[in-house]
Amino acid sequence: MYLALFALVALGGDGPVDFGRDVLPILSEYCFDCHGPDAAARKGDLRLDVHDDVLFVVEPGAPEESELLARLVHENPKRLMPPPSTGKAPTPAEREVLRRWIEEGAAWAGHWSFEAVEAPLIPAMSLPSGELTGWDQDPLDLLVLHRLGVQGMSPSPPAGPATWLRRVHLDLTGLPPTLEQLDAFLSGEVTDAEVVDGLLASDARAEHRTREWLDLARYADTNGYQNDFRRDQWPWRDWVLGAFAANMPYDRFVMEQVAGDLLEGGGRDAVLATGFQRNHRTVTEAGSIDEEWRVENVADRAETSATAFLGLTVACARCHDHRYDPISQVDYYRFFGFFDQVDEKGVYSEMRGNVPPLLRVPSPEQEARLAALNAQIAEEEAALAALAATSAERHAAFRTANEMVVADLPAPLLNRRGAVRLDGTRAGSADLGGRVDFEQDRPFTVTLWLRPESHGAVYSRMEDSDRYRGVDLVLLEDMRPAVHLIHEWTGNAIKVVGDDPLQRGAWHHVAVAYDGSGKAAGITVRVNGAPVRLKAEVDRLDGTLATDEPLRLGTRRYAGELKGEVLDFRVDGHALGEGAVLALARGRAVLEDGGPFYLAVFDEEATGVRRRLAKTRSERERLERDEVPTAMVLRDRDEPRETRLLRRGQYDHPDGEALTPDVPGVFGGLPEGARRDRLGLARWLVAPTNPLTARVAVNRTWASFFGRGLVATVEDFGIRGARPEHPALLDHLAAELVASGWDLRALERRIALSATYRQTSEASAAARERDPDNGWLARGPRHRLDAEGVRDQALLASGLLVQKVGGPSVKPYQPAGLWKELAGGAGQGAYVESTGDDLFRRSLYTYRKRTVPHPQLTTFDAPGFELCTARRPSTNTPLQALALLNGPTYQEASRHLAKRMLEAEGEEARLTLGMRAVLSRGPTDGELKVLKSALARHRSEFEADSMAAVELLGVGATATSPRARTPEWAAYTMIASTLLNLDEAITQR
Amino acid sequence: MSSDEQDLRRSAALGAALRTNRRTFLGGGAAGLGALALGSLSPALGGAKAPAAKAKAKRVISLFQSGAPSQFETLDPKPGLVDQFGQELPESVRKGQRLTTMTSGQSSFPIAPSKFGATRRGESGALMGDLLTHTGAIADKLCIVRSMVTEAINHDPAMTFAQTGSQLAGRPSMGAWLSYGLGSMNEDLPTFVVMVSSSATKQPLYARLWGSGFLPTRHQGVKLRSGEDPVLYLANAPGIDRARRRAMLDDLERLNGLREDEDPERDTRVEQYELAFRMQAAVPDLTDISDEPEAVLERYGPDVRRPGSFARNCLLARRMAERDVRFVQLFHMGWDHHGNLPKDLTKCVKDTDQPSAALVQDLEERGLLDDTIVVWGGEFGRTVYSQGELTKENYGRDHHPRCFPIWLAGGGFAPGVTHGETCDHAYNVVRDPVSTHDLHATLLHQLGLDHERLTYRFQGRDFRLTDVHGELVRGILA
Repeated sequence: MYLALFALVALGGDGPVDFGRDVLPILSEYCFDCHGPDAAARKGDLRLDVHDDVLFVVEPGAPEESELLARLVHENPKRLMPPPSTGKAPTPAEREVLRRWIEEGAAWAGHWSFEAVEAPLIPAMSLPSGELTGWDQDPLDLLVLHRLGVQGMSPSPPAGPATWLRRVHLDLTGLPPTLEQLDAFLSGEVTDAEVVDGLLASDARAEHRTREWLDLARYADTNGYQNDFRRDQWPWRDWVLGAFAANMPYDRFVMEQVAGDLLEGGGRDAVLATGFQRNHRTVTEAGSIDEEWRVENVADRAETSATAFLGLTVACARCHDHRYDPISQVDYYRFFGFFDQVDEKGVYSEMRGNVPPLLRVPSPEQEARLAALNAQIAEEEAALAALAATSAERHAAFRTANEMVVADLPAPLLNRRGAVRLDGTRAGSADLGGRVDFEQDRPFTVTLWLRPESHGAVYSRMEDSDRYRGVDLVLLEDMRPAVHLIHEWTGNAIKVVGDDPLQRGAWHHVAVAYDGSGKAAGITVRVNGAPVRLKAEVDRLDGTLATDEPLRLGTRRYAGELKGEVLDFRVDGHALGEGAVLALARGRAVLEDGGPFYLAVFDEEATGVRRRLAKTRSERERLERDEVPTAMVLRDRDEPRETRLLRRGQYDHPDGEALTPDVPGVFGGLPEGARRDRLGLARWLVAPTNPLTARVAVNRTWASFFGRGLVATVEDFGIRGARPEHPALLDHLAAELVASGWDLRALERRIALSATYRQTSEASAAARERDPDNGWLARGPRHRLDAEGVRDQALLASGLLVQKVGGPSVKPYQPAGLWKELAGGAGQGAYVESTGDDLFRRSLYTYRKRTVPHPQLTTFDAPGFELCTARRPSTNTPLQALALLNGPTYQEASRHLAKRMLEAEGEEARLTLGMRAVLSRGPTDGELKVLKSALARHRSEFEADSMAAVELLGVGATATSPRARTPEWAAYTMIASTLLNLDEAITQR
Repeated sequence: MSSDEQDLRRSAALGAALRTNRRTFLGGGAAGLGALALGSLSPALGGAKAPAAKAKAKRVISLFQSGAPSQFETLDPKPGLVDQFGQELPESVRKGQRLTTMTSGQSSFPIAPSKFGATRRGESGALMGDLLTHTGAIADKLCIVRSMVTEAINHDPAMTFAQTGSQLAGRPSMGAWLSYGLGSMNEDLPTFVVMVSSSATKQPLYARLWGSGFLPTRHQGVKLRSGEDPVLYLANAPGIDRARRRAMLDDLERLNGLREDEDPERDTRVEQYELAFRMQAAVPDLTDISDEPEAVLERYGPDVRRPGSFARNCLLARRMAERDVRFVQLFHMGWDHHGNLPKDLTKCVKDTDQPSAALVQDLEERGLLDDTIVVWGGEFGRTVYSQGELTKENYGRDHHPRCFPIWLAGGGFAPGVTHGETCDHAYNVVRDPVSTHDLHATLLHQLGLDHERLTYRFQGRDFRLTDVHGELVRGILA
């Protein structure tokens, strides 16, 4: 082992040039633009990313004979490379690397991250006791130590126990320790390992990891384009929470989010997991072209999956072969093909809420209610069937009593006796021509018998354009009837919707009457003779309804085609009342075979059961429609879609032959016999031979603790990405992750308890200069809290935090008017703040409106959730200072923290308590002095100006009565605010 | 500056002196902030500033007319169309170009001439719609480009393209690029400020239009609002006056300064608190227009007295130019006239015509127009044919990306020049097309930046505002 160690040491020092580490980045930076993977940009038919080609310009062992080197310093500017016009030129040091590489034989290898993971040898070291105590407990630390040694660097001493505790709490859960946790730890009641195990099992840890995953998943609560309508995708977010809480193995986590709908025996939750692939934005802007935006959805899924699971940025290859990474445009569209099969549209014109494919996700309580309602419906249906079986006699009596009665009505405009069968396709709909004109100032009544088997359009005479001029009756997706009279949608139209749904498979007599008033109130809808309660959704009609389109049965643009049967379709030029409508219905019921129609409308014995049944069904519909949440998930089309390369990435320029879905050629493609669908992709992603998936997962976990990955470019493991300073450590952890059954919690445990992580983050200027972002790990981590953490910490320290897990997103304080200023309320109206507990939930649950992100999130560097984000920047701005100083969240938290401080006895104890609640440490003497003098000043000022105290303590929903707002409390509130604004407060260190 | 304010600033300086381990690179004030913009880029995440060419301009004021103004009633009138009223648009003009699905189902495409007249204005003789009384009066100061071309046919992608050079979300906006490339010229105010106003009807806007994309978020635009708190959380919380805030910040800095280890991040953060404190004075000073003479207010029109109006925002833009804010982005919503165009467009013109012209004149009189670029325009043009019913009195126009006009003033753009030409139906460009990328490249050029060299490396690629496109439009430069 010692020998191995020293061999490694020799390699890492001034040894031979490493092709991947030293040479490839230089070639990529200076040569690949014109001599790289992109065939279209290639000059002189020479590619320097391919070994055979390189040998044209490189003579292994003979630098002076290698054209490559000569060109870098050529006197003739026309032969000099890179061409001077690019403004790029390799430095002398870089030229020297190339020279040495050639001298040493011009070894060639693939890009490091595309090569299989190989578990490295673990250096065996006997460490001197003392400073390096604890560094020999885990191979992780030995690998770090070894690399530090090679670099001539030494590790830093361990951080103090309180610093470590605050660090593990923040990095594992996004929350600092409570005072109780701090005391228990410092008194030795719990060990380090117990602390870490407790945190790993906590909901707070699942929430923090979910927070991180949501950035990659570009999760939000609105659809993101134009009017930015609300969507309800939180059931998927709760799936993520559950997966982290249960420590779902990472391979399963990946598979379900890529192909949960295709996994055998996956169940509802696996389908829900595919919501990951539907978190992309969806277009609802009227006038947009469907295919253009469907292609965007697919591209977003492909690019997000590549970044989240593989750490690859493939977007470049959408329009042309990738410039640097070996991903061709054909590779791109083969990968795209996996995600191209979804049964979706590109444009859901002005559609609010979730857009299909959808999954219903009832809570256990809702499932129980549904089961009870279903049982009741079955019972009532049985009762109705029994009545039907005995109805012959009653029907005969009805016929005798009514056969002489004939409807005495003026002549209809159209009367089509008999049945029309509608098969649910456009071709199977019926064209009744242009004989009946509908006008806004002319009354009419449409009557018909209807036995629907699906939702869709019943009848329409309407234009096939986005202004939708004309009239219709449609059954909405939930089978409620809706009537439109439209001059121009949506600004000049009437839309009414009935309260109760129609029943699939049952006969209904339907009458739509309109009195010509131009008002929604002028519309009556009767089902089986009884008026339906209508809700007017649009009521401003002023203009003609006339259109050249014919009257059609069973179809209308975007309403879907109806499947079912229509009988006795009739249009009258009057608004018919109850008597006339019943008379028309009777006309069918008195026939010899009119039994079903008699039962539907006239059989008095059945009326009671029918009404009860309708009520129960309506209740079930309401529960399913209004209460049971849905999530947007994946469902593939029955008919496979052919994927073709899109020239320049343009949706309307498909090119060449249909492409079979596959993974990029550089990985050798999918194995023989593998399924060419998302399930095949999912299996490939988590195969132990995949070089990227485990490395990328390990790297991201590492970054959760250190604020920086072992590969600094968390999002890019390609040739242009950063190279790891600790490649052996990355591979060791990746191999162990796979060997552990993809146990992320075990990985986190190791990192949290490692000596590397325990080091102090304090560093000399020289050390920082040598390694500004701590890539070598010669000190502990230090990073600003994330946007969520800044707020959550203030809520926790003040005692305001409500730790309820999951559920719909909530709306904490936000300055008034932000939504309205931008959208004019087009999508959702004003932002209505939550009340009670929901004001104080963790920021993970803050409502994410994509076009107007919450200022707390956006001010502190959270992404806009429009695209997959693997890494957040961390900036310092005056807006952050203003938010922390003046935002009501922090004012209210300061007041509550002050209240906590006042519960202690004596000034010093109070100040100490406040500081410990925020920083997990008490004040130094110097700090105490500053705090005491500040407190005294605040106290005397507020005593002199008690109104200021009343105002200061009046912020937020929890404010107490003005009389309780004392100057003393105000003074401590200022101190609390000062503490929350300390650099140390918003830093993990 | 009041004497109280001076005391407070002196106290701030004292606080600064108390701080230990002060890093010095911020000491240079304005230039220092620019340096900060580039301070912490590591190679893998880095970028490159373009080498500064000779800059003609220092600042930009963009008057973005959101929703897309019709060219026929404004900057590209076609009086000859009056004779073709109601005639079907010849297929030879449309050439099968795609339409939005709002009109692609229309059975006819009747030509809708502008209901309003048009006159040649100024010595340059630029033909302009008669509605533009005030803009017409400054025709000789404007450089009109009639041949802008864009790609998208819907608002969201087209506006995102106009602001970021890409139809899809995720790229930095132009103001963010400028903040990144040029830094700040002002130590009390943000580098990139956004203001929003609207006529009665609105098309929504999106924060991404002034976002920083993959650039660090400090480069994103700061939205200045019309209410009491123009910048979010700018006003001190209730019960805290400026003196109390100052004293508290001094406490805070003392405490931060007591930390024994060095940390440049901490120093930067302390500096941000000082900038915030200065902004608390500078922004109200900026938005308080009580020191403006009556004659100036009258020039911008009566709306200037209403906070949040386009006129007020134009006046504030001038005040920001005086204070060296780098990029001022105005949005005026309401130009999306699918129907009722004559009435609704007249309203938009009433809101914007006078203040836009006043801004140019005001800047010129103060000697600011030479190094300030003012640019006016929307995200695309509108169709020559009527969307919906066409009558003599009323019509509408659908979206049209194949041509649209803008104007520029100041900053080295050629005054009195009309660049580019469209066909008789203002449907296609027939001479000197200018793409959004070209416009961006030219704007950057005037600011001393080479659009091919202003790059930022993200996900392994060097990104530019102009993507891989953009040609300098020399014909519009003075």
